[in-house]
Amino acid sequence: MSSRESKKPRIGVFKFASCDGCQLSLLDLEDELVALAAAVDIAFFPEMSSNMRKGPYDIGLVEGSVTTHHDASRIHEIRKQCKTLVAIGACATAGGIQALRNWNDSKQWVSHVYAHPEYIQTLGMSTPISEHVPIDFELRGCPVSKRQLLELVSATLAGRRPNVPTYSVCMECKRAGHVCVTVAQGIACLGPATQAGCGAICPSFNRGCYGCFGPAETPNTVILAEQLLAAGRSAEAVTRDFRSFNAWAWPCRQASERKGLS
Amino acid sequence: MNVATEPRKKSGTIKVDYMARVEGEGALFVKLKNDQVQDVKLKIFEPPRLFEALLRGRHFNEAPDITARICGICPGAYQMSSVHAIERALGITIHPMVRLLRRLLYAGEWIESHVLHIYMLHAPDFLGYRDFVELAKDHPKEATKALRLKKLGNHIMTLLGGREIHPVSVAVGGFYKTPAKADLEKLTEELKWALDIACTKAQFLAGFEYPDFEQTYEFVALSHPSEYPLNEGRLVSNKGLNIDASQYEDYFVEQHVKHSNALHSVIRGRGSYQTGPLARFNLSYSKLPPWRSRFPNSADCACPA
Repeated sequence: MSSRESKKPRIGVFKFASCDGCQLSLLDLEDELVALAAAVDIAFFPEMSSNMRKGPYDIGLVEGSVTTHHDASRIHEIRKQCKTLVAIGACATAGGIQALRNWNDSKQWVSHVYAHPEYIQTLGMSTPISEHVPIDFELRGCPVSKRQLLELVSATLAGRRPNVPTYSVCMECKRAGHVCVTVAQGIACLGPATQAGCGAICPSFNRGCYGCFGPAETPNTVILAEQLLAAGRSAEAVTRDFRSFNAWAWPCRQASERKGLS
Repeated sequence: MNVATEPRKKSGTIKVDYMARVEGEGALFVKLKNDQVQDVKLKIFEPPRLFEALLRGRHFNEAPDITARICGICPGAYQMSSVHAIERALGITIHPMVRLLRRLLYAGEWIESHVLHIYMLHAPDFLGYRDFVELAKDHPKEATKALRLKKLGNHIMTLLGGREIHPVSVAVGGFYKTPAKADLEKLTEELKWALDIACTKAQFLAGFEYPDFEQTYEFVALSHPSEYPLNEGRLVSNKGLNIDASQYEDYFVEQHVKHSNALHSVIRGRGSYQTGPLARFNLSYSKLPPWRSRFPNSADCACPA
């Protein structure tokens, strides 16, 4: 390694229980990938490179949720190795779709899938990285937005806070000039309580937001659930609305369990 | 797989604890004795997320969005499988236009995913690099073209599905919204360039040094009477399998082995088989359009007869 290269900020990308989509967002930066790789030292990113080097790292990007004993201890080692640790995507920030096991008997679930449940080592819960170690930032989305991911890396290297808005999808939706799918067509939409960042894709495709960017800042998910029920959506459907990719995020749990609902 | 850097031994074991440049997480164990392979274990330690269980009790409309999350590199494949399974169960016939647009979405995913696998995950091993970035330094023209091809695949996904990873447009019975004809027409020029480049690239890839190792493969893929198969057809193999998808469980069995979280699928009474692009290519080569004649075809790298 040349001395010039060694001074570059070192980045590590780590995978837990996940679909690979968030780390793939880095490889999907077709126009920026080569320049990014020149600006930083990608020291550990197994999906991209067999050149896997030990820490410490300046930035650690963690994809996925914690679902095994091994991963529950591995995240502590990674935290020690990373100056800045960022959870990327719904699995890392909220437990992901696999957190649906948190309301069920995961042993029974394992037996639905595997002929030999005794071979499988998995925890009863799927939990976000922040339940295990302190983290420096959470980048939302299922998957994350690759623009926001690039902004996150640039901002961290420049020592500033990433410009990632925490307002709701409604803001992006109005700005894009979409007609509100709820008001105009009565379609259930989680946009009012979901964090912006996707570009209001679902309303632009004539469907309601399904909340893949997780709760916006100070979301009133309970009132949104109440409104959906008042509009005639069934209780089961409202529970499912809030039990998807960010189900274990507290505001989604409040809404799906109807905590505080009148 | 990155075993090339391991020292060659006549006897002993090769252990790769964390395989690089693959989808998901796996480890490899190979036991050698007097240059003969005694045992191979591919250990997929990727933690189980239990999709088969978590889909229970969900509305059928949610299946395409949920199953997409099985894999961020091939979400379209899971969306297509789930909508087709549900449509078959409900007896829904889709509009011919929906069928064509689904083929296009899926083709976009093939372009993106196959370029990713060929150039970013596999080519570095054949050319002696640790990753695509190192490869790009020595082969900037190849790398730029590969990235442009990959971007085109992602562009098709985004045009039809709103985003390249976990597209949002696929619905049981059709699409939430279809693209404007004018936007589709804009793809034509780039696709013409891409076809040209893909045929040239095939020549470049055929020139790689491949290990002299062939097995008696059983290739399994869909087969359609008149098209290169994407979404429909019968399940066929080069060893006489020819069944409807509904007969899958009569002919295939998924086994659970102790060392891996991924189930092993075998043909009943025959054993392992190969799926994917290579199987499709070998079984349906003649269904490719006439430009297939531009593929390399030599004694070393022969197209199927």
